[in-house]
Amino acid sequence: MNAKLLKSYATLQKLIARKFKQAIKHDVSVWASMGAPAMLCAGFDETIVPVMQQLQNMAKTRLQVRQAIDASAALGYDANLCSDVRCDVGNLALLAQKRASLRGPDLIFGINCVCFASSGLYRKWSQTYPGATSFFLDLPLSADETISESGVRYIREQLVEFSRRLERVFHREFYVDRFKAAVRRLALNNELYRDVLRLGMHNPSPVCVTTFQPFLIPISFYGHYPETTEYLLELKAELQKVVDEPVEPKERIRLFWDFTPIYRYMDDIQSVLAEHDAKIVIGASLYSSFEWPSAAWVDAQEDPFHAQAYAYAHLPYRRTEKYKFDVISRMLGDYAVDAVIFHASRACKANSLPMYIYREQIADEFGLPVLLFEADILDAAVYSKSQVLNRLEAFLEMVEQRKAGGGSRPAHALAASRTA
Amino acid sequence: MNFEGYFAIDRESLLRRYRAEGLRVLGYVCPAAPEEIFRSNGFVPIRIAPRYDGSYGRADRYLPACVCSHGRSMLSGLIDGRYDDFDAFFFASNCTTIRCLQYHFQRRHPERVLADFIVPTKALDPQAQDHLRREVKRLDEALRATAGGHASAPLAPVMATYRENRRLLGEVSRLRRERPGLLSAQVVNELYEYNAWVDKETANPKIAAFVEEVAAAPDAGARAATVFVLGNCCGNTALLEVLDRRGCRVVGDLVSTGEMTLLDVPEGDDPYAAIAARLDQGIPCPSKVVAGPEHDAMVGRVQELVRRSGADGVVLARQKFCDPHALERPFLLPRLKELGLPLLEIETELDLGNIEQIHTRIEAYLEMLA
Repeated sequence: MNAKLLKSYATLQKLIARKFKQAIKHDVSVWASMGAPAMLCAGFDETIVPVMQQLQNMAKTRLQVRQAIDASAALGYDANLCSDVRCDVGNLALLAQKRASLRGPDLIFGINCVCFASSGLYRKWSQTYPGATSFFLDLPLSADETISESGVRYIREQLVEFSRRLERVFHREFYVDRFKAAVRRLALNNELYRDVLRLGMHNPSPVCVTTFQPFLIPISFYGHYPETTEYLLELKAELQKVVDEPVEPKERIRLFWDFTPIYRYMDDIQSVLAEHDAKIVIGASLYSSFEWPSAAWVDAQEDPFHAQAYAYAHLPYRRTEKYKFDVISRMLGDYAVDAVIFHASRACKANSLPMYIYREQIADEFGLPVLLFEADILDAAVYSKSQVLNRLEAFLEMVEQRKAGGGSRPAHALAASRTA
Repeated sequence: MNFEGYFAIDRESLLRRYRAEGLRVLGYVCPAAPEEIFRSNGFVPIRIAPRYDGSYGRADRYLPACVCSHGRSMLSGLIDGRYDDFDAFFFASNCTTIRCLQYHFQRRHPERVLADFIVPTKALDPQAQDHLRREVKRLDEALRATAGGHASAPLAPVMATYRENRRLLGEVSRLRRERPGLLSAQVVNELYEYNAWVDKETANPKIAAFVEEVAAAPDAGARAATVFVLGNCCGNTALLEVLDRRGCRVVGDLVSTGEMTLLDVPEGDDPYAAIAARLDQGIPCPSKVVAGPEHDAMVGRVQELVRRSGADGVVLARQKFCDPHALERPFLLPRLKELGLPLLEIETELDLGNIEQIHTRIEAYLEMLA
């Protein structure tokens, strides 16, 4: 189902516009990377909204992205680096050229929740705006299948220290109860978001990941705001209705997509998928919510700093490759996936490199066909449209033939036998 | 006086000796590894730094072309079974390529990867250092609890041995700096490789003897142009030999398989805190996240080391597709230029496939130095 046809899509657009306006109009300007603990500001003023830089990349045209990337090259950023970071750095340079009085941030929040490259952006912001107060939350990688207590403690200590520094910035006390409310709401919204994604287990799935990518925005960037709760409740109800009264026939091919989309080119891919009645029903880029603790659990914690640190420590991005593969395996079974598409984004080594071995594992353990192609989340110079679409066509034809010929067992059955 | 071959080693013999002595061999990647903890728990920690062996072909199945040759060589070596004789592996880096390699190692040797310890990404930060201290202690306790038939030794004497090792290497570094030309890059590379493979109890007396011989040796003659090399060779120390042979004497370096590990910090009574402090403060690697005044301090140390070396020029050697160093470059280059020394930037891979271009650029650089 095309997400833009939903009534709640209008709510989503209004939410994004409102939040963006709030962010740039507020007296306090906060810049944050996706996932960074900007919700600490709620401990002082719940109306503070961070300007989320990656959001701006998603909104840019192909030409604007190219110009930003070229600007970053002029600053000495290697063309093989993450295109997201290069675009962000380039944007900064272009804006500075255009408007000498560009309002910089008062507060900068950075985090390494997905990968190392985001730290480069944080360093650039800090260097460009030395007058801003900067916070970098280091989420230690988890080395094995369990979460280190010391790691949770380390994250907590950083959050507490940030709150104390913010007290000096705002010249007032940090309200722990307001912060706890923000942490709780973030957990609640993650629960709602999981409920939305779980609707994708139905066939036909009301969720088509390619067109639903914008739905990541509220949970990724505005996760602790009440407007996000209202929106997700509306979205969930609308999609549940679509599940109860399907508007489309069942999809013939259910796909798993990992990792990032190819921004501004997914329409081409969606067209090819539609021709084969194929649908991307779940993707690994969505799985940050799957391990988030519940709102009830947060309520039960006395210390919201510990609660938020615990949630951060459990992010799949900071876990081992084995753990991530286990998450993918569960998804393949739960969503009755027929085939897997891996987009090895040149920009994103953290998520792309393991794909080359995951594809072997998936083929061996689940007997599922896997297509792996190399492109990029943003940099069009690395995307060969005809090559990717041709390979996708051929792949889907192969999957159809396999299914028609009785192919392998469904993924959920294979998953069950694997864990037995 | 020619010291080449002084530190030649036979790796197979070494491994046999370690086995005969009941020692286990642990291969580690990246310098931020708590070697003393491993040594005191019956391991001989060996730094894995692969050299190009003619092909990355076997790794290409599992790694795209935009991955550093260090990673691809290591994966090739793993697939070829070159590390099958190691008893354990340890990966200290936050680099995404190394994380992926760790997974490959875990799949091939599931029981051998010690995956219980990760260096925090932040450096020069008290909380990060405190977390690191807790992790170092936890690692030691876990190893002692699972030692089995392998004896664990007290930590203090092992730390003293490693301190002495760093002191001796520091002496070599000083001699290289003060008497350029006496020690070729090849000799220094051989020394570091020797030091990476040989247990410190055996290595220290030999290095001490070497230091005495070098100190007593006559000067090498006419002074050639001198350079300080920094960057991410990650085992590609052949590049330093190329510089040397072309007339650029290397008098100091900050490469991870070279002098980067020699940066020491004061130690207190707590050995875990001492190790954590050294790993946190002593190793200025761009894979660590540092910004603001801490980043300025880190780059300031780099500048100071270059000045202290007395080098005529600076060489920034970058391995292609290395993200941490590529992200650091826009910040580092302006600061290196502040030194007012001619700067040569070389980007290459382990195979030195662009060697003729490198030769040409070195020749042009030598003319600048002259």
